[in-house]
Amino acid sequence: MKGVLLIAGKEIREGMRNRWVVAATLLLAALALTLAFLGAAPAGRVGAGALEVVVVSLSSLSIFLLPLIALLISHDAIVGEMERGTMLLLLSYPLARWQVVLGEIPRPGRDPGAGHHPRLWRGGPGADGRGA
Amino acid sequence: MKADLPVIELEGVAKRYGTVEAVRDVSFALPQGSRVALVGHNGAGKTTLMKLMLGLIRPSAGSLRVLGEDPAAGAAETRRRLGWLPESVTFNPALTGREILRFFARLKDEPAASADALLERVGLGPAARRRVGTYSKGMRQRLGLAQALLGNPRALLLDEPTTGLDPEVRQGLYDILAELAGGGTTVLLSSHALEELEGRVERVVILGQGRVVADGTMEELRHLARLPVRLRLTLAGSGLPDWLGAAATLRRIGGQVVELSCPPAEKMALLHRATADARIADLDLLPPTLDELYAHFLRGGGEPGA
Repeated sequence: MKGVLLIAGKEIREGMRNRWVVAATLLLAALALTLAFLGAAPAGRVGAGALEVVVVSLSSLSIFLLPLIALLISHDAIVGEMERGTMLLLLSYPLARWQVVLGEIPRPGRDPGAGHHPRLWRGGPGADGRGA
Repeated sequence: MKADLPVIELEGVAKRYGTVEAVRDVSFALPQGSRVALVGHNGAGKTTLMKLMLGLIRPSAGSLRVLGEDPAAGAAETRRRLGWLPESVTFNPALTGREILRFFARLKDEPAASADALLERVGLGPAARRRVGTYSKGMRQRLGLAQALLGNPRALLLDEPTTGLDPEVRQGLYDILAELAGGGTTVLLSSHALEELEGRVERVVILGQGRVVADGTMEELRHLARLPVRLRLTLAGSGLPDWLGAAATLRRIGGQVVELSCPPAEKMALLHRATADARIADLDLLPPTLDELYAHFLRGGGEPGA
């Protein structure tokens, strides 16, 4: 389990340094502020409270945007790691393959398909003796 | 008891990807503390062999043992004693060199202090707190090397460690490797620049099309190839000395300079004549370069083990 935590820690650190996170935060903040301002306007006529309109708009925003951003970042976690060549390097370390994959997941955002990539599982578990 | 066993042993190893045979019937054994170079053109199977030794892929045929174990079994103890520098690894540019090395150190159960010591050793001490994105190619390569050196590996696999490095860094790298081999680490490095390996490795394994085409020390390989020696003569006058005779091998380079090649056996006789002749103003002896040697073996001119 130690291996998983180590990789997860590194992934989170990488994610925080990643410009995607900053960009996504800024984008969300801008959209949320816009919604808050616009949402307040029609409140009187429709009859719904200003707060309800803002809450509904914000939640529909996050439904659209959050999975998209999560997909982007987790794509970078696994595919970026492979393209840089560090994935193979990690696999040559005393770690089982499932530990590497599991460790990649807790990036700020998660691609549900990533854990079941069949090619990563070929070759079976490596470091049975450690942690786990 | 383990000391006299070969650190890395391959027997009839083959790896096929579909119809492509990346590696065919490769057998060799590397004893402890040896420095060996795998030489071959791009796609000759050098990287595939290293991946096989690391257990990242499994051989289609044959067997291999690394540190006495089957690498594909992935025993943690074996992996901890193996260092690998992949051919083109680029670490995440957002992290600092120190963060990256400490991360890898913890994966190998090494204290963080050993990571810092290694950074100093490869000359990255002052840049340790900078982001990898700001590193030069040489610095990135040195960070990769530091990563491979973590945990005092008993076998070190370096995939083209010197490509793109300046001569000074390259020299430093070979010095570190010599030091490690002196300490009993087996070093296997791959390269396609034979020239720079002269005097740096004890043994060269030349791969061509996935096969071992030659295996031996530099001297043995030169002897096997029996390539002609080239003699470059600067003439004092305009006339060619008649003893030069066989004009077929003669080549005029500049106005007064001619070059001829002769088999190694006739070299001394030719030299005696040239030094006795007043019409020869200067003389250069050009032994076959490693690149010629390499080309010779790749053309299939050498019989492995002959």
